[in-house]
Amino acid sequence: MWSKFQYYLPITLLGWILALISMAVFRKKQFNFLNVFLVLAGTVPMIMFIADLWFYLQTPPFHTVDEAGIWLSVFLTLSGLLFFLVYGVTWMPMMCIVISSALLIICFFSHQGFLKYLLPVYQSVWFIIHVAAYLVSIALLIISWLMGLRSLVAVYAKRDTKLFLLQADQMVISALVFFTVGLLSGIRWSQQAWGWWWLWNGEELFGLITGLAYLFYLLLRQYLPNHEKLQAWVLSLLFIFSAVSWFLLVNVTG
Amino acid sequence: MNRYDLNNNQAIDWLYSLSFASLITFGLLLFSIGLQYFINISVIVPSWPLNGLVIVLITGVAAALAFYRQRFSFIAWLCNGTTLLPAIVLFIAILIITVFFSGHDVSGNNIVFPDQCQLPFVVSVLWLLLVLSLSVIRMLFEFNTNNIAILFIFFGLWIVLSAAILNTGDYQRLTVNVYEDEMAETAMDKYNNVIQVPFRMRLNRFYLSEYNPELAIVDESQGKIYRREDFRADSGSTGYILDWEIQVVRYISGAWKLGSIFYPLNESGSAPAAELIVRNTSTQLTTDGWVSCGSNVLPQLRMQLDNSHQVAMAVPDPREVKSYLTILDAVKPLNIITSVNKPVAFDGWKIYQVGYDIRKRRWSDLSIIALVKAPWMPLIYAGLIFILAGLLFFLVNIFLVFRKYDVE
Repeated sequence: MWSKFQYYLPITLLGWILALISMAVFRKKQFNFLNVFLVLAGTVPMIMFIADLWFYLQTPPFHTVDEAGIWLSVFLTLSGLLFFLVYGVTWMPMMCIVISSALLIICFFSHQGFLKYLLPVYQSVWFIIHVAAYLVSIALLIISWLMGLRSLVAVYAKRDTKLFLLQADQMVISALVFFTVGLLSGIRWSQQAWGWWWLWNGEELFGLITGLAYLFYLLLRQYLPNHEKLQAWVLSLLFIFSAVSWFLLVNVTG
Repeated sequence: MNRYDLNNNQAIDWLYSLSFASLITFGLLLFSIGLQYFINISVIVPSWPLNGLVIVLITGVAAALAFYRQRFSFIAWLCNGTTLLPAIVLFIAILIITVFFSGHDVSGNNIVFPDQCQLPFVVSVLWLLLVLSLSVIRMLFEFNTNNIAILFIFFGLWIVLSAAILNTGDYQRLTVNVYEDEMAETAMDKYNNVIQVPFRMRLNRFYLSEYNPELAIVDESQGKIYRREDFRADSGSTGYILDWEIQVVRYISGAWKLGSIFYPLNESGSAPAAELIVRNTSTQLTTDGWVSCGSNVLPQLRMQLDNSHQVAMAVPDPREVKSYLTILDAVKPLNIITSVNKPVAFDGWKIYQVGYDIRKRRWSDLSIIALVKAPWMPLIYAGLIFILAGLLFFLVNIFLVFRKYDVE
């Protein structure tokens, strides 16, 4: 089944590369339709692969690092596309596509594959919600991080950062919404499966730190509204925490 | 809530608060680390009602302080939400310091719950709780619909933090080993003390079903295992690993060996076994025979392919694990089935299926049951839901601000 990935991957990458070229060349609004079409032409085959895998496994594929990587790439591209549709910023979906492609290529070479025969503890709907919500949250945090970097560039180019930071805020808050849903479902899952609700393991610890760190950023925005340089730096650096969380997750699952 | 309409005085006030709170927080950090260094003690989170008292006390102090906030400006500074900024930094810093630099988890040992906490952790948690209480109470005193998102988030955090303290003190977990057709009278607590069970249980039957096991080729000379993720010992299936085509003639989940052949016999101690025909695709040589992963009674059996390669069967993974129990101390004997992910509630306890005799696997006559009391869980969920609501308010608010900005 995993061997089918090698047929879906080139179609996806081709669609995305065409989308990248098209977005770089045709920046005007009248080409939006073409750009969106090309991004979707790359993303839909990957969604079809997920559906195929889902059908084969008869459970949502959320249990291995590769499965998570594929989901993340899809979530990230779709979030980038949504960002493009709402704000008309072409560089955002382009960056998202580059990161997503890298993720998919890593998945292709990592050979972790999928997990069909789930241990009883993983046969839980809460676990699925938990992982899915976290992945969406990570995708949105990646976008907020890119906005943070954009604001940083704007700060040093002496341009107005207000707009970028406001857009970043929306991403951070949306990410925290999914993060909280992930936390709720994760606690529920852990409580149903083992009767623990919180273990101080690396993954949970860094999850907590990430959540608190982004809350810190939001409060910084709230209480120090005029320190945009500081905010841009904090937002750009905070991504380290979510990256560490991701690697810990990969380690744990791997 | 609208940051862009604030007057200059407020911004300056916030800076004062932030500096003041940062100073206190930094002092607390140094103080607690120093104290931990000199009088290396760990704090055990007390159980009800003492843990409740701590929370009431802190909230009471916060309420009293918040009441006099207009009299003393430093109290007004403390009541600001700004104080939460250094408090969060302190909390994160202490988590990172304890975990990464001391090599401990926050509990100071390997007990999964930090019911024995190191001083800096305790100080940072209590400081966070005090600061949250101060901010929430101040916001309630000066209620303003503009602040509702932050109020919800802070209140949610306050609930989660308080419930976590309460739950850590009042969490009980007992492990009960119960054998088939026997009654469990003792349990072990988390410090491995043997105590009496809160209610007696009899295990009527332990049930475990397994997936068909994986088949793999072992290269003994290099110590490597080659496998195909979707190749399992299913009767009639064929798999290709390295140069070999492995055909599963039949798979028996419970088999006994007589001579060189396995026969189906589902009795305690029987093992999974599969009859295989293996063909080398380059030399066309065909071998046939049996493989088995063995059981607690039968040995493992591999099939030799050449000098260094063997086909082996992995130990099957469990698919479903459950225990049929009778609770004897109920009004009348109560029959329950507890399985993984589906705990059963009884008398304030939750009954979990957590283990079995892994040597005997599906023939295990032992079931390991956990009895868990986590009385404050609903509060934790409630707190998280408050945070979620606050974030949603925040999101709506930020969209409104954004639209206004966009129009300008």
